[in-house]
Amino acid sequence: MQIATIFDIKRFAVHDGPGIRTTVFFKGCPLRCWWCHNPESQLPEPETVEIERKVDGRRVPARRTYGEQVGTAELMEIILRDRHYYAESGGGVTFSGGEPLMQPEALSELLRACRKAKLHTCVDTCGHVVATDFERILDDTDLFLYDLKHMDPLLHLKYTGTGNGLILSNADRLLEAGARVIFRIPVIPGINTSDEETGRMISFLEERSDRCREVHLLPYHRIAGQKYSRLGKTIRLPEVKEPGRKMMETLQKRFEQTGLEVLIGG
Amino acid sequence: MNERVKKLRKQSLEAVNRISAERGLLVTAFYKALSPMQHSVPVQRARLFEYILKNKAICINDGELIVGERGPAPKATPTYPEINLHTLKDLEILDGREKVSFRVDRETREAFREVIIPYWEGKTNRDRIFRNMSDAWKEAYAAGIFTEFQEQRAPGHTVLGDKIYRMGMREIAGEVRKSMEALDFHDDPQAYEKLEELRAMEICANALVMFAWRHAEKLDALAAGEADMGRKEELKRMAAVCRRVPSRAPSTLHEALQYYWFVHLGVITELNPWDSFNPGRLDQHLLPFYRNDLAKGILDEAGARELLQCFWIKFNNHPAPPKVGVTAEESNTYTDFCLINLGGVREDGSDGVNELTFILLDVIEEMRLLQPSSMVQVSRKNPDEFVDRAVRIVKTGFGQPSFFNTDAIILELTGQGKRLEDARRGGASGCVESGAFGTEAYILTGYFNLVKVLEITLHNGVDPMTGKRTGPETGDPAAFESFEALKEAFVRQLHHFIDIKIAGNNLIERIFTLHMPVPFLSLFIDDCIEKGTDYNAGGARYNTSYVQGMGLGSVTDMLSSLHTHVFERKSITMANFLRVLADNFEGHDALRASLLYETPRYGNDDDAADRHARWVFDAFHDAVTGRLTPRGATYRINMLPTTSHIYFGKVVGATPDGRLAREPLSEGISPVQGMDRRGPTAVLNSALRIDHLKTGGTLLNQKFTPDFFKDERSIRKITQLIRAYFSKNGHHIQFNVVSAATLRDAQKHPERHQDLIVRVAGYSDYFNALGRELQEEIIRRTEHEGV
Repeated sequence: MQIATIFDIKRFAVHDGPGIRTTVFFKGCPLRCWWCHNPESQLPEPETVEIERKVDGRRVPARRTYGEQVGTAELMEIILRDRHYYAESGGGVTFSGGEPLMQPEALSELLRACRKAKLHTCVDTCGHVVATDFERILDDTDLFLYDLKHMDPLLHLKYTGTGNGLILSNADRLLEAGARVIFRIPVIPGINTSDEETGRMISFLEERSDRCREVHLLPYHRIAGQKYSRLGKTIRLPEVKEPGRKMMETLQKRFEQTGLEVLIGG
Repeated sequence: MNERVKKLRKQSLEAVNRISAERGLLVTAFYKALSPMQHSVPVQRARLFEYILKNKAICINDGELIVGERGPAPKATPTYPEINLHTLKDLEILDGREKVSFRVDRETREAFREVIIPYWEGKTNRDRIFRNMSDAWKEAYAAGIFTEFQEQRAPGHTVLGDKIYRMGMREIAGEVRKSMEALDFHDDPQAYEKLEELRAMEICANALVMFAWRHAEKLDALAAGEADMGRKEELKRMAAVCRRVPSRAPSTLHEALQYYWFVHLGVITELNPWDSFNPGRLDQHLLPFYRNDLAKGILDEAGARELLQCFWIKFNNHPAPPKVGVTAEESNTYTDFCLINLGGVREDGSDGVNELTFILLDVIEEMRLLQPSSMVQVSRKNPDEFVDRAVRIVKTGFGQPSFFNTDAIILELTGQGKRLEDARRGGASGCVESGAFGTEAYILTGYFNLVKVLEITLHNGVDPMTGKRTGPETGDPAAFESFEALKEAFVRQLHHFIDIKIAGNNLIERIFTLHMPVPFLSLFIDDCIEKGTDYNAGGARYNTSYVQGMGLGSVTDMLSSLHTHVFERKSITMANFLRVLADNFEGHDALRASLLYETPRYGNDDDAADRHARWVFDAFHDAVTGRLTPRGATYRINMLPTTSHIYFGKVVGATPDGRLAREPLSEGISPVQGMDRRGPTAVLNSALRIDHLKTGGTLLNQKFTPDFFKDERSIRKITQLIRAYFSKNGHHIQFNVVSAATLRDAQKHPERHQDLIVRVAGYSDYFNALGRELQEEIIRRTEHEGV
């Protein structure tokens, strides 16, 4: 049995694929996005930090460990607890992170177990992983949620720490293999919202519209600075405003002109 | 909402809740003139009923279509001195208290001082009850181990079936006479009692017709003086309706509604039963009239909506009769718990949703009134569109409607031995109570404080709040060598107090049977007429008495804390733990943080906690279920709080789950407020660890932020969440959809949020009307947000 390092399990997840889902968050990520909401997801190993518990407004020092090593059988037990909600809603399980494909052995074992239990499966990936690892999970994954953060390789490198070459080639590989893919674009004002960038994204999607009909626009939410400082990290993102409803709807319309189905939020 | 309805709604909202001396004076005059030998008790009560309906003021409000008020004006609320006499001090409290107050004017106070109090002092049913209770009962009652529902109000908790839509009072009185003729004076030793009861029923049936005719006369008089030709015609038509019903069976929607309303007024005038009265499956009952009216051109859809809206306003004009003392604490609200049932299945088991269901849902959303309360029965036979529609109303954030599992209710009722058809005709009333409508007397007897019982167990039978010995000596917990020993001691205490509660219940039930029969209500609940037996004497086809368990979440977390820290991790001894509790956790923040944050808690789908919930539930169930009452009812349990979790919290010191002394307890089967950290599916899974089918109702509160309901996809996911819970036999779920920020703002600026209605327990209430503790508690209930 494989052991997975995870940093959270979210039940009644309703924005990570169809229906009511359980999302398992793997720890460890090859990217270092400036806007990352989950800095605790980045390092592959568990991290213990000092925190404060509040009791009637008074502070009580405590320790908290981000990340836990859990056997796949135990994870399956937790996943299966909500199977009647999946059945009722056409939901299932989503593996997210961090980057779930950073732990390909555990991930493929979990996906196989889900397949056996007839659960709908979804993998939320940044795409920056070894191409052959995708092939291992292809048969047992019903849906890929595939992040597109920036189309400009240099800016991608600047904001995430890696280029986008591998990400884009892996995307095509998946589409060619007949996988079901939904592209997800985090909308971060001032970083990937220029006219030019939007145009690049749209033409990327248009070129692949015969194999992928759906795209999600995820509005940026302000980052909790506390988490960063607790982990001894600094936020690299300059003051960025959350995109307003109007901005999101304008973007949605632009993407829709290509004939794609565009959803705000997941 | 048209102009008429807008005006009526405004009138209703602005009417001030006040005490009316009208009924009190009539009751006093009647009893003063009565000679003791004149009548049997049932006939005496029937003659009183007739006397009140003959002499009370008739109130027709400007512009209304459905007529009849319990008092002389909207929200003018009568008292029931034969049940409970309000003292001058009570009146002062009612008038002056900040929440759920009733204005008492000088004239009313004088009437009480000069007439009502002098006659009734020491002679009420409440006096009778307290005179007969044992010392053990009185001590346990004073300690807050249980409450008593019938000390200030009469048993009721019942719902009307379809009888009045098939039969006028003439036919019903005919049934009564037939039953009289069938009496067997040779072999039935109770034939005389039955005869008196049936005589009383006949008097009541005729009295209601007389009451309707008085309305007809008044309407004619108003019509004669009306300058507006439209209203003149309307008044004449209304007079005609009041001459036809309740005398004869209704033939139109208007007549059906007016008939029900007269019956409703009759029931809440005869006595002050809990949960007022309830038309039950309104979309089923009214459908034939609606379709017929439409087909014959008597009414169009807009006209039907207008009538239903006028009908809704009548409920809102009738607050619950004024409560004082413990009864006010356990049920501190104007709401009188009439719960309209929509959806579910028909008698033959097929989908019960129809076009009127959707119209009634529109009415609920548009009227946005405290009363009547509303719920949807969700069966797997019902379409998703119906549930989605109800969820969209919940989204508007006034806590209605709540969601009930029809398929589970049917299993609960048939499991109790009811016929399948009777179960399908049933539903839920009050807060969440399952019942067979039109055929069952299911009487709630009081809340039972499971947390207090564990507290007393932890002190070897002594109540630490008073230092008094209240329960038996079940061992010094510091000497318990195992968790099992603690559980055994708890079960012994539990049985001790349940025995006391049930002995009291049985006496109180007899008091009502002998002294407070309800011949009018008995006309409508089968088989009272056939048996010649009163509703309060076991005349209904099915009879059930409930004890309502309180604090499941709290007591589970207490057991989990003790198990985890004292017996498993051995991080603290029992003796030290008890000292920390006595100190109310002062200076023990680290322990408290560990209890609040790092101990298995109910509501997280964590077996380490949830197995205790199952165990406590089963222990409570086994202590109560299956015992019999004098009227032949069976005792059963349900799990609901109204506002008793606040009152019960006030009488309990600090508890091992980290709760401070006198803070509220958990309510219904919900987790301790704010302790569910793994989202709603985990809460529901925990709640499903107890066997809902062994209850007559469970109550589960869930809170969501409004943005969760932002689009149709999210709404459908709520529908699916409900469906999944119900597929595993969950009984009920309700939602509060309002952000904590809004509630905080409403505390700071109540003036800006006067329309803010929130879900409390099995009912909604104005946020401003709630006491501070309850406001805080509602804010603490976890807000679930989607990821």
